[in-house]
Amino acid sequence: MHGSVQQIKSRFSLIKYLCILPFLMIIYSNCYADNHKIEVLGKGDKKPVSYASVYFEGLISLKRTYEITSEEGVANNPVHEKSIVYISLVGYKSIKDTVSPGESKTYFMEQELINLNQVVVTGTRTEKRLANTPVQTIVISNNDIQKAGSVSTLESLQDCIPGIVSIPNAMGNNMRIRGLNSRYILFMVDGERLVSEGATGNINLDQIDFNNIDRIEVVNEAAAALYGSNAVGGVINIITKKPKDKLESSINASYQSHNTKKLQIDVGSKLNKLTVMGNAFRNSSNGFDIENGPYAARYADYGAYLKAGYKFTDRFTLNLSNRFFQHELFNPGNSMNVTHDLDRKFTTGVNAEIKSKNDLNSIKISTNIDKYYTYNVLEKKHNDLEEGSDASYISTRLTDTFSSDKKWEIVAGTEQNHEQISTVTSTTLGPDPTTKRVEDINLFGQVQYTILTGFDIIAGTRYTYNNQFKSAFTPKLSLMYKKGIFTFRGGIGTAFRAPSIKELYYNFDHQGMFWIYGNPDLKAEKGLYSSLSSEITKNGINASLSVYQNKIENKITEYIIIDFERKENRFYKNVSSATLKGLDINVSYLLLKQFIIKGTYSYCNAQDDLTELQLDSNVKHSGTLSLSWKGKIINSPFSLQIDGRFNSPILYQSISVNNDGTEVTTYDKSSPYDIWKITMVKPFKIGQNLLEITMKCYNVFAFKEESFIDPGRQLMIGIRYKYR
Amino acid sequence: MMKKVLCLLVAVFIIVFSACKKNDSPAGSGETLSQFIDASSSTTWHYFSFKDTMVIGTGEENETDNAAWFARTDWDMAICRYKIRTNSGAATTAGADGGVFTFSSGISYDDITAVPDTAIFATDQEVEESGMGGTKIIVKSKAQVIQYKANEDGSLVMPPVYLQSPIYIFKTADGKNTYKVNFTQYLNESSTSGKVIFDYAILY
Repeated sequence: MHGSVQQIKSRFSLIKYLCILPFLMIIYSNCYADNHKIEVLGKGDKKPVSYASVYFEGLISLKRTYEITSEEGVANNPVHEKSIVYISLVGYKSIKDTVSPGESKTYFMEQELINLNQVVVTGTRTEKRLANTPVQTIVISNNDIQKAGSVSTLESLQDCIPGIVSIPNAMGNNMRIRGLNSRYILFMVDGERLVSEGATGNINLDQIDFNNIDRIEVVNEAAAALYGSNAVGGVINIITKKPKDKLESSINASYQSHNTKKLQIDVGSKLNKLTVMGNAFRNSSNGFDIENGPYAARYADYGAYLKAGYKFTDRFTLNLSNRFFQHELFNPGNSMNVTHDLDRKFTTGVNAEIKSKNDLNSIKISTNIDKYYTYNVLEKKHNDLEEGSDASYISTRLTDTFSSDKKWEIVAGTEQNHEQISTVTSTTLGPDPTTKRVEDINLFGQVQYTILTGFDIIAGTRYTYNNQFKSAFTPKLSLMYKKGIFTFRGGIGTAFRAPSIKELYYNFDHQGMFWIYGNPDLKAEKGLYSSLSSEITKNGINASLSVYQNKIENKITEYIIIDFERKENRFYKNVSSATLKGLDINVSYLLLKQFIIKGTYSYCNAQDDLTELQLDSNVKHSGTLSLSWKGKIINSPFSLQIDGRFNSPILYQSISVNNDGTEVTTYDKSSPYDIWKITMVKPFKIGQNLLEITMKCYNVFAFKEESFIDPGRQLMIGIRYKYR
Repeated sequence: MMKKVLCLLVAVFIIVFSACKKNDSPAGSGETLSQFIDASSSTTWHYFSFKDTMVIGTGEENETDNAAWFARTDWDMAICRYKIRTNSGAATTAGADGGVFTFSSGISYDDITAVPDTAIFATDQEVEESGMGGTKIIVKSKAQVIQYKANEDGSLVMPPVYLQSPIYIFKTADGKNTYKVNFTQYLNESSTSGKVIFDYAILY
């Protein structure tokens, strides 16, 4: 009995000590932290900067540790050797310094409107600071996406790029920018083009998990010298995340009106030689079917992404990437359809980078295969899959980047592209299964020369031999001049758009309404783009103004012939030309050291030269506005952002021919509209990890219009947990 | 010999009697029949007779064939893909008295037992069908095998979503009988358009 009491007492003591121990550890760690701390304050207001990332890297061991500043702007200094410290937080200029063990330091972070030190790659195919790239580039960062509560790549683009019109359908977002459909815009992921569907280059941007986007780079000008076909009106390059820590992961879940559910998870690891990033997502929605109102089908998407890189030596790196996406679009419950659409995409890429001993040359060899399958799901045959068609785009490239000194940089390479569509049950290329191919081979080169400090010139060109339309030669010249707070950019460049396989070989009955025929004799469309821009950055303001003209010739246009049986037949022909003239204004302003206001305005007159009508779906005046506030409630930080986009009427102008041969011009347009959303993001620090809760009200004023597929006001709540 | 004659007479009597029954008595007498028509060609009309419970012939969408069929009174309904004709209005030059009445959606086929007192039968008309850049005149009924789901601005949802048409009552070419009709299929299980199945029953 006595022994039992002793045992109980000793167990009680043990439990007591176990209970006390964590408190002692917390007190110890707090004392330690109090003695060795990194304090981060705002440069102007001297207020604590919460949740800034603080990286330490030992100068000898290269060991990395990671901290987040508390709500009081304080982080531990855990280093045991002299280390480099990096402090970063989106919206602030990053800080780099050294700290010693046991040292306490205070840093003052300066707010910045645009991260001009951001590395961009799209404008020149080489890494350049945003401030130093001669090609004007708009960057939408991951933080911009999160602050705005965006739940898709398209929404992120619409938030920041004025004049985007999207009338989504089964095949994709069906985007138009400045009256140009997606075929005039080159869409890429990590520098590799996305295969598109249909004659209009329709692309489903949902194939990219927006949670896995590091940034989106938008180049608003022709870039055919570097990228070839389609880069007539601009380039949108989606750059995916790279891991930064030994182990990092995040999970993101959101629920939106119409039972729209999105779930993403990603895991990354950066070791000495190996980097791995994996990502999986599932998105689904009931869509909406409002009586006498807009309709969108129910869908379910799945996707996964895996990329890995291995650094064999300091001079040789090998990277692999794989991506899968499935999009299934269901019929409404009361339909008589017996099939529904299902698309699958597979992308595989491999690239090797070899650097010369003197670091002057960097050779990159890459191959990227993008496959796109369409299926019919046979609902009355046990949901069997019936393959409709498959499209593929295979691109192989060899690029050499040569930097002789700080003045010269040369990028040169060769590229071979193979595009193919095979029909199985799809009859778009004729009643019988067939395969159609287009191939091209390219030589390209670009030279950047720094004439004086702050005065750069870029000259580049590309020669393309295409098995269908033969040759295209696309030279380009760009200049950048920096003087004080001003940056001036100017450029003139040619571009081309190869006719799509469907424009070449279409041969099908379009739902019994008309027949559409391709034209194998189509030539490439040619573009001539010229622009001038100026940018100013000073004391809390960043503003830019650019004017441009884009002349597109040999434009491929659909024309209609009514045959003797009164059957409507549509054909393609290089018959028209178009001229786009416009200006873009971007302004960012830091107000009262707390509010960031960003606004854009775009004017675009996109006219068909022959008919003098506006290009289909052009929006002459458009803009975006965002007001972002990083505030605190009882010392607890949060961000509140209001985003708006406003457009003058979307113009639908066309000429039709009556039975008697007379032409009728139709001038249709939508109402002018503005869409607003409010987003609040509240972060919580849990140890080294971050929990963010996002609440969003989209289309606050419930704008509705018959040409506008939007169900009105939508609410969203999201939760994100970032583990490091 | 007498037996043979008697047998022959009985056989003739049965044949004549049954033939009279078919001609004089409406098909099914209220019971529902089902009919399949392969109307997958976008230019061929299939002319159907309710009394004969069969397609009695086909004609192309051209002036010659149309004129020939418009002069006949032995068909009641014609189908070409999703389009329908009744032997009435612009689709008759022989004074046929067909037509169609459309129920409002939500009324089920089984619930319909009689022609509503207020029913007005629509006749076929010449309709100007316009696509981008071209128009053509076609004679057809307002009734359709299926309805296309449309966006708010009238443009069709793509890819097409086919919705079930409401229940129709068709009047025969002679104007004497009416049949309720429910189109139950437009696409076959392999999703080929124009594989039409409809249920029908005489109302009086």
